[in-house]
Amino acid sequence: MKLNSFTTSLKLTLRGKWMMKFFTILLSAFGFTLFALASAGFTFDKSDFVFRAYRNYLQNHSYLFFGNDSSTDGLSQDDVAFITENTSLNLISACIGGAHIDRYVRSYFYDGEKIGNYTQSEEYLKFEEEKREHYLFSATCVLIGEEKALKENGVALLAGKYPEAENEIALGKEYYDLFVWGGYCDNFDHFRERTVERMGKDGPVTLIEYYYDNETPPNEREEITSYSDLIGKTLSAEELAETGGYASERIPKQVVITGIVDTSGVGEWDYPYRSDRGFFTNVILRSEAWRQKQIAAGKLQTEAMLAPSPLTDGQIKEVMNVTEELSARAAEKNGVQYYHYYEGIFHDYKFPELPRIGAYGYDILISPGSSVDVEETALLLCLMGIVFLIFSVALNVSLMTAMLRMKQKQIGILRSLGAPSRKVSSYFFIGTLLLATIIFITALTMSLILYYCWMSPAFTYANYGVCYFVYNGWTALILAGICFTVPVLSVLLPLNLFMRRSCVEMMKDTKQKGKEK
Amino acid sequence: MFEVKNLKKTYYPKKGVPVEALKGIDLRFGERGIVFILGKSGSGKSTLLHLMGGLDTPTEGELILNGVSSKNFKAADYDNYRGEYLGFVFQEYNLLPEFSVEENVALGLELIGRKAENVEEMLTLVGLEGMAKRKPMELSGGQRQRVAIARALMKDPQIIFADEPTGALDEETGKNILTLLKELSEKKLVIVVTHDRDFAEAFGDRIIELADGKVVSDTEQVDEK
Repeated sequence: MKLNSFTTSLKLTLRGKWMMKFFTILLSAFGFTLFALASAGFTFDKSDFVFRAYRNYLQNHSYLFFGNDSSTDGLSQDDVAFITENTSLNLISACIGGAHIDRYVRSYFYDGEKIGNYTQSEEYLKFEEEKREHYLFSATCVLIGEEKALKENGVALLAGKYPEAENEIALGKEYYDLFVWGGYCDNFDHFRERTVERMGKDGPVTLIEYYYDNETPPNEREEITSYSDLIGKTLSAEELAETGGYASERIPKQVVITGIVDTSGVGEWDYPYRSDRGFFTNVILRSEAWRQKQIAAGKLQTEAMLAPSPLTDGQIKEVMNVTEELSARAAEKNGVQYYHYYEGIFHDYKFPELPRIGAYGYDILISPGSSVDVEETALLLCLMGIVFLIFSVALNVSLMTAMLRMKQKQIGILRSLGAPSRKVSSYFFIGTLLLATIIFITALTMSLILYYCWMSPAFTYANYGVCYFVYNGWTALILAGICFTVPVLSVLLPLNLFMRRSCVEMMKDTKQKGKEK
Repeated sequence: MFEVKNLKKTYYPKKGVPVEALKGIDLRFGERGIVFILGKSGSGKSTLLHLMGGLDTPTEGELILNGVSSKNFKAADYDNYRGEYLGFVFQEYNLLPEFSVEENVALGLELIGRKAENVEEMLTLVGLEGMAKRKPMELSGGQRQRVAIARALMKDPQIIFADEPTGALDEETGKNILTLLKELSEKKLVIVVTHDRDFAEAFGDRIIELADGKVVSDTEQVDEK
C-alpha cells in the first residue's frame, strides 16, 4: 500500500484536540485581523487619501469648478492660463456678476408708475401664483467657451448659433421665457434717447445715471412667440466694469442675440453663498472674440472655470496638481493669510492656511489644518498595530507551540522508525500550512466584515465620504504574510529544536502513554 | 556482525550530580539468535538498548555494524542506521493512534522512502489477518504488540530491538509475543531487554545481565530442543 503524503501529514499534525485547534484558529485569526486592520495605519498614504476623497467628492457633482475664494477678483488671467495649460479638460469660463444683462431686461417691464422690477408687478405676481413658476430673477452669469466644451458642460443650443463676433450673445432659455411673457423692444435706443434727454449728452454714462430712466411703455413692445422671433434682435448689455465697483463706469453696448441655450444640463453645485440653481441658469453666452477684447483691455475677471464631470483619474490628478501649485503660488505672492489653531495631539500648533484657490472642494481638502486629525488617527493606528502585532504573534506562537508539544511523542516515534528530520519537518510543514490557510481564510473574512461594518463607517471623512484607511491588496497581503509566516515559523523552529533531542527524550510523553494504556 | 565497544552514558541533570548509567560496555553479537538483556530497574539495560538502537547518543564508545563504526555518525547517519538496519518493539507499542493497523505497519517503510507492498502478508505472519483497517485503540495489548512487530519486520531489518515487549501484557500473551520473536530470531538478531528472568531463560539464546551500568554476566543458553 502507498500512504498519501498529504493525508499522512494531516493525520500526524492535525488530528485530535479539535477544541484546541478551533480556538487556535479563532484566536489567531482574530489577533491577525486586528493587526491587519491596524496595518492600514502603516499603509496610509495621504496623497492617495486626498485623491480618493476628491474623486468621491466629484462623483456627487456634475461639473468641476475652479475658483478663488481668497480673492473677490476671482481667477486671474495667469491662473486661467495655468489651469488651461496644465489640464486636459474642456474648460469654459464663467464671469459671474460681471455683466448684468438682466437689469436691462427687467427694465422692459416697468409699469410706468413706480420704480421696481417685474417681479413686483401685479401681472407677474399673478403669473407666479397661477403657474407656480418663476421667471428670471437676478444673478447673471456670462459663459465663454468653445462649442464642444459648452456642450460637454451641459449648455445645449436650442436655436440659432453660438456667439462668434464680439457683439454677439446667446441667451439662456429663462430670458427667452421672459420675453415671451413680457414682449420685446429695443431698449438700447430707448436708453440712448432717455440719456440724451436727461443728461444732455450721447455717449458713455455711469450706471446710476440711467438706471431709473429706462421704462418702455408696454404698448410699444413686440410679441415674442418663438425662438426665431428673438434671434437677431438687439439688446443693451452692460460691459465689464473698468475700475470695479457697482456704481463705477459701466457702458451699455448694443449686442445681437444669435442663439437661445438651455443650461439646465450644467447641474447643481454646493458652491457657498450662492443658491444652487440661480448660479448657472440665468446665463448669457459671449464669444471668445469678446473675451479676448476684455483681456486686452485688462477688464476680464474670470471668476470661475468649469469642466464637466466625471473626470478620469488622470484628469483628477491634473486638477489636484494645478490646485496645489496655484495655492502655493498664491501663498508665495500674498503670504500666509491666517492661521488655523488646532487642539489635538498637535496642541498649540498654528497651521498656516493656504489660500483657497483652485478646484473647489480640493482647496479645502488640502488645507493643512483640515487633515491633521487624519494623520493623528493614522499615527494612533500605527501604535495600535505594533501592539496587535506583538499580541497576535505571541498568541499564535504559544498556541502553535503548545500543539506541537502535544505531538512530541509522535515525532519521537517517527524518528525511532528512521524518519529523517526533513521528512518529519515536511509533514509538519504541510499540516501547518493547511492550518495557516484556515486561519488566513477566517482572518480574511473577519477583517472584511470588521472593515466594512465598523472601521470604514467609523473612519469616514465627513463631506468627502471616504474612509481614511483602505482595505486593499496590501492589507490582504499583510494578512496573508502574517497568517502563514507566524504559524509556520512557530512550528518549524521549535520542531527543529525538538529534533535535536534524542528519540528517547521525545518519546517520554506521559500524557500519550496514559492515553494508550 | 554487531558490536558495541566501551559504551558509556552519563546523564547530567540540571540539578544534582551526574549519573553514570553505563560504565563501559563491550559486547559482540552474532547475525541471528535472541539475546536477552536482564537487569533490575536502574541497571542500565534500557539505556544500553537505546544506545545500541541509535535512539540516544553515547557519552563515549561506539557501535559497529557490518564493520562500520558510529564514531563519526551525524544525525542523518543515525536516521539511516535506524531506518535501514533496525526494527524496534517497545513496551508501550508506540503505535500512532491516528493511523490504521495497515498504515502503522506501512509507515515504517514509507518514512524511509520505500514502498510497503506486503502489508497483508506481514499481518498474517504476526497473526493479525483481517485487522488491517482497525485502529490501534480497537486492539488488545497483545494485538498492538504484534502490530509493532509487524512494523519492525516490514523493513526486513538486520536487528530487532525489543524493550520490555511483554511489560504491558499478561503472561500468556507475553509468551505468545516472545514465541513470535523467538521464531524471528532464526533469521535475525533479536535483542530483548527485560527484567523477567523466567522469560529470558525460557526463550533466550544468550542472556546478558547488567547491574549498575556494567555487564555482570553473559551466558549462552543451551537449546534444549
